[in-house]
Amino acid sequence: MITIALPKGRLGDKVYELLNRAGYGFEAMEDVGRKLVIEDEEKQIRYLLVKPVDVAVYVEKGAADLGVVGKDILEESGADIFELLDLGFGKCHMCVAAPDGFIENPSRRLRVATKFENIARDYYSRRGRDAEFIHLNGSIELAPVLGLTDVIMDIVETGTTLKENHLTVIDRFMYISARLVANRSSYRFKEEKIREIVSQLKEIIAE
Amino acid sequence: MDLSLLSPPERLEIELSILYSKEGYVRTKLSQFDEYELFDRHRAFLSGERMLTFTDPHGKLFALRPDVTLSVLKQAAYVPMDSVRVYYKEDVFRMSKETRSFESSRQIGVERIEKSVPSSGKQILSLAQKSLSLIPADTVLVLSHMDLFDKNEWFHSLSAQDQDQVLFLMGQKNAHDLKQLLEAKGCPELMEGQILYALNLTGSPEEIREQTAMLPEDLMISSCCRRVLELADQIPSDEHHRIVIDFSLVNSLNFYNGLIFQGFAEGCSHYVLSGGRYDRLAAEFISDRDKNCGAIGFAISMDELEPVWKERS
Repeated sequence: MITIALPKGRLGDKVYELLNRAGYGFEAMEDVGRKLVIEDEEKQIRYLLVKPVDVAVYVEKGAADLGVVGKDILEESGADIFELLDLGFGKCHMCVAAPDGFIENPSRRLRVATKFENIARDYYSRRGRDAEFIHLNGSIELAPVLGLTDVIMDIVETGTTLKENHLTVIDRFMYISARLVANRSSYRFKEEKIREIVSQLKEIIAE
Repeated sequence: MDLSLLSPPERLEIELSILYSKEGYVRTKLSQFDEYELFDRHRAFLSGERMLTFTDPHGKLFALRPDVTLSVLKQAAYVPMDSVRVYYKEDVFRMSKETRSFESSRQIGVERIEKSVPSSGKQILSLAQKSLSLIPADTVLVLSHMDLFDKNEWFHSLSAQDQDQVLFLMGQKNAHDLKQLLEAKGCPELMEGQILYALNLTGSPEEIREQTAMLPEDLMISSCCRRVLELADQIPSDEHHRIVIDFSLVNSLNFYNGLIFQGFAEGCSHYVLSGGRYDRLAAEFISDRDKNCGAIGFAISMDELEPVWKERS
C-alpha cells in the first residue's frame, strides 16, 4: 500500500484533477466531505488529506510515502526528502516587494515581513545584508503600508494584491510550483510502485 | 550469556559488538566531550551542527561530542600502528531540527584507518551489510561513488556555494531544478548528460550492469559504475537484505571521497546506517608525511531503529 499526502484547498483540487487523469483518482473532491483518509483497496493507494503546510512533515517522517507540496513550503520546511517531479501547476514566484518608489537605506537594518522566515534569512544572509524579520501569517502586504516593515517577502502570482496596496516587486528570485515528493526510506522499499506513479504523472504533464 | 533476557535494542548492541570483535575491531571508549577546537575546526564536516559547550576549571572550552569520527581520528593519530580498527558505542549530542533543543542519540560504529595503504572498502561494506542483516526487518544497503564529482574539473571550477547546490539537488533526485542549474552554470553537454543520467541511475547491481552495458567505457559515470559494481559483487545479499546502487546518494566533497553508502530498514523513515570513505579528513589528523592514508567507516543510529522495535512489540 502506498500512502500519498495531498494538500487540501485550491492546490488540492488541481492535484486531484491530475491524479484522476493519470488513473489514480478517488471519489470526487466535493464528495470527500470531512474525511481525512481515503483508501483505494484495488489500486493499493491510501490518500491523506492534510493542510498544505504539513505535507512535507508527513512525508519526511514516513507517515506518507509520497506527497504533493508547493516549492515555497518545501524550501521553508527544509525537509530531507526526494523531490521527484515538478508538476507544473500552482506556478508563482517568491518575491521581495516594497512600497512604490522605495529607496533602500543601506546604513540601516532592513525590516522584512514574511511568513517564510527561513527562506528570507537565507536570502539576506547570502547577500550579507543585515535584516530583521517579522513573522506574519497573512495579509503581509499591510506591513509596509502601516510602516511595520520596509519590505515584504511573499509569493506573487499575478501581482494584483501588490498593485492594490501600492507595492512593487524589487526582486523575483524563486520559481514556485507544486512538487511531487517522496520519503527517502519509502523510495527504497516501494520503488517500483513509486516509479510507476512518477512515470504516469510525467506522461500526463507532458501532454 | 542469555541474550533473551535483554530488550531487542540491547540485544542488537551486543550482537553488533560480537560481530565487530570477531572481525578484528577493538572497542574504543571515548569521553562524552572533547576540545571545542576539534569540532570547530571541522564545522564543514559536521554540517554546521550546533554544539553544547562548557568551560572547565582551567578555562579550556569543551563541547559535548556532536560526532564520533573526529574523536576517533584524533586518538588514531597517536596509536603507534599502521592500521587502526576500532568500534564504538557512544552518545552524540545534536540539535533537533524540529524542537530546536539538544538531544542525545546512541550510535554504534566502526572506523578503519590505514596510515600507509588505504583498504579497498570491501571489508567495511561487508561489515555494514552483516550489521544490517542483524536488524529484524527487511533492509536495503545503498551504494554510491563520489568520483563523478570528485574527479570532475568542471565541478571544481564552481564556487563552493554552487557545488553545494549541485550536490543538494542531486541528493534530492531533483532532476528538473538540477538541469536548470547545470545549464545556468555552463556545464558541458556531455557532463550534464552524465550527471542527469546518474541521478536516475538506480537499481540492483544486476540492473545497473544491464542498464550501463552499452555506455562508452571512458565516461566518468562508467568508471563509477565499475568501481561500485566491483565492490557490490563481493557483498552477499538476499531478498530481505538487498543491495541497491544509486548515484543520487552524495555527500560533501570537503571530506568524503570515493565510496559512500547508507542503510535503510523497512518501517524507519530515515536511514539507519551511514558511512563512507573519508581519506581527506584522515589526512588532516595523520602527520603530513603520511598523506597516503585512508579511512573508511560507518555508524548505526540506534534511535532511528525505534519503529522496528515498535512494530515487533
